[in-house]
Amino acid sequence: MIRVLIACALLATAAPVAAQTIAITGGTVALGDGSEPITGGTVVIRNGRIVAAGANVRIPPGAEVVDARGKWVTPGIVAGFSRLGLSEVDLSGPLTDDKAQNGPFGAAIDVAPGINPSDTAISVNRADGVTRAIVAPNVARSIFAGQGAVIDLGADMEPITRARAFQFVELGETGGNTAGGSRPSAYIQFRNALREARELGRYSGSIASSGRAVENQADQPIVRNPNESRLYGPDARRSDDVLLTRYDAVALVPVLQGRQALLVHVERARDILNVLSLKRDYPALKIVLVGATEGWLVADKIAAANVPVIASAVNDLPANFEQIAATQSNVGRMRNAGVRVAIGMIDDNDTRYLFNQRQYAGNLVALRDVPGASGVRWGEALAMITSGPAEALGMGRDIGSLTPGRRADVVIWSGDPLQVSSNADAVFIDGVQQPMDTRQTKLRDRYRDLSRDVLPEAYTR
Amino acid sequence: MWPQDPGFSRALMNGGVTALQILPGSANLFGGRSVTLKNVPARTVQGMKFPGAPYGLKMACGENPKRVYGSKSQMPQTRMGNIAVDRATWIKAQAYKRKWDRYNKTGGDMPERDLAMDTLMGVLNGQILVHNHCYRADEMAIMIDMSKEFGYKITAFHHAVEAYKVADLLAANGICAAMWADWWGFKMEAYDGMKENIPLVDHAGACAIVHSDDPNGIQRLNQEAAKALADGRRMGLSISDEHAWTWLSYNPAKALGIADKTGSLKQGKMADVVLWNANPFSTYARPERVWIDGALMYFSGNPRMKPVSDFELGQPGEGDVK
Repeated sequence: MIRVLIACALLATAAPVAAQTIAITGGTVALGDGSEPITGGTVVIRNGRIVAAGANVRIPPGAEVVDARGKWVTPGIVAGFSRLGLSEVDLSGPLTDDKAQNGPFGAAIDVAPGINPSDTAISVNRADGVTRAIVAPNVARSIFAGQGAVIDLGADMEPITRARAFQFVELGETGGNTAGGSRPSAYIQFRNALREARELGRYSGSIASSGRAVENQADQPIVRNPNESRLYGPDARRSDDVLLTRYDAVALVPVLQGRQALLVHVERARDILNVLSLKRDYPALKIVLVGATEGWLVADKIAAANVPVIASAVNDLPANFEQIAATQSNVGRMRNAGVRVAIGMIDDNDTRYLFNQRQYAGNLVALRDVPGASGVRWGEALAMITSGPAEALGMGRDIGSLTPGRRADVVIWSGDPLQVSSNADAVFIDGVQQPMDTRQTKLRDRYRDLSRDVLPEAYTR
Repeated sequence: MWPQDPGFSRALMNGGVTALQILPGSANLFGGRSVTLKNVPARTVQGMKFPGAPYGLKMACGENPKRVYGSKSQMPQTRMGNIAVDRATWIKAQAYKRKWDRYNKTGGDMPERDLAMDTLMGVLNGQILVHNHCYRADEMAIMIDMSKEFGYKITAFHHAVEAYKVADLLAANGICAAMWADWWGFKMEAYDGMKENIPLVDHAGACAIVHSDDPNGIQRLNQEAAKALADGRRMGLSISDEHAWTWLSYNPAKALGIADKTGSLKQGKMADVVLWNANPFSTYARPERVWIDGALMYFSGNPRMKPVSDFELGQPGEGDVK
């Protein structure tokens, strides 16, 4: 059984030329699990997975050895919240795929088909050491933006690591505006939506007892893929008292059952408490807070609820009345209270500047030297941009660290990756070494010398 | 300009910013006048104004005027419309200036004043500096030609994401470029942005500036310069730390017309000084003390030396480290 599972995992990796064994030796290795870096460490990759990482690691015979002396080796950066791959150009350009302003659907939207692996923002971020990204849709007409994906940034046509990894909902100021003009309206829309999902789940079949094979999928109310669900069939009854489309209601069944994470964007302290209280009425919800700029004011409550947070790292301006208490110490204070914190780019140039996460993580380390401020240790800061986002989505066993068995997303840096002056020298995704050239490096090389040549610049490439 | 904007304190305490220029937006070809300030809290904009700094005029090229007026189906609507309206306006400004020159020389009836034309006349007289929002290289070249046609000088191109394509032209014409380290792609005219823009403009001998155009970016100009410096070195350019610091001190002071007063630690200049707790090109560096005109305006070790704007008074986190 175990052997079969491993075989399946290998098939799922589907990575070309990932089979060889690679040993990255002599570098300063940071595992991404919160521990501090190890000098003179080794990272061994085989079949697209991490085999070993740390000090005193034996180099397997026949391994291709990559000398990383003088360099740093870490797991690839995981963009904790992004709209990567959904928008080649945000403004005045052609169609962007982050939201459907005039579309009829909300929760049912599955962002995966919108992700373009050839998007230049993917290659630019890949070349800066970002290897995976959590990609969320944007809200349009419903507080439910739809189902986000986890992607890899590899130079191939298969970007999806996990489709429909989570549902994204707005319950703060944006949620209130979307719901017609108030937060209370957003909450009753939320409750109504879950009512419709519950009703649909109840009407469309009985829950299969555990250990018994499910013969008819229509009997199985757990929706793994709402787009292929039997809940659309003629037997799937609904009451007449509905606001959601059938597709939207079906999409919320796995959220209600705790089968799919629910990412909730709120900033204000009171809004955070409101979201935590939803767990009383819907205990199965797997809530992840997103944003949480005022989280430090209620950090003990977040910690007690054991809800992970994907936070804006250095959001320190009272940009609106739900972020009045904004401070760069927010992340450090939440962490000190025992909250599980990761970093994302929430409404912060989320379609393209994901490479700034390592700068922000470095800034959180810097705060340790500012009197009265709360920073984080270096190892924790790195974890917040690697294993942290992965664990928030329950994918920490697959991505985000150099722990054996994880996908071999590895970056060799010219120096400390939290220093903006360091750059990625080599990037591996699923054990496959990635190209480092981008449209930007080609423009650089074309225009590095402006002196007149025999032919115009258009002939230089 | 809202003197109580909490962003000023963040720029001071996190960014070590002692002087700054604030410009109108880019929806209009001629956006209006800018203001140059010292980063000192005051009740009024007058209390913040940088003594003796010249006025600036914001001009805009390209996509933004095109989009804003295009959505109204009004001129200028297109890039050719932009240039046509620009040139027609400068022609009017020249005529306005001739009237005033004649009046100033020979007297007679005072010509009627026109507020917009007053500003453009100030540009033609060399008293008001032109700060030109422009992304694309070809448009910068057109703006330079237009400035020559009407006899004014462009002090700086702002944003200038394609400045690296015409860095030689900027150097030859003595024009600064105020740029981001790595912003690109958020609109079509930013599509060719790349990370070596600042070092390549610098390498061509032009005046390179790290700018923010952003309430968050202004808190990390030192880090943005560090990125540009590292990218320049990685492509093989030889740039010293002390030279790269001109990107956020002397060069912007030059573009603002205040380089004789601030922007370097030269004897006799205003004592606008930041004491950093580490090399400011490090991500881990923070301002420890900031002096403006020799007065201590921020000290990280003293909670009383942190300005709190009226807006934040009585709010959660008042006086907190931000």
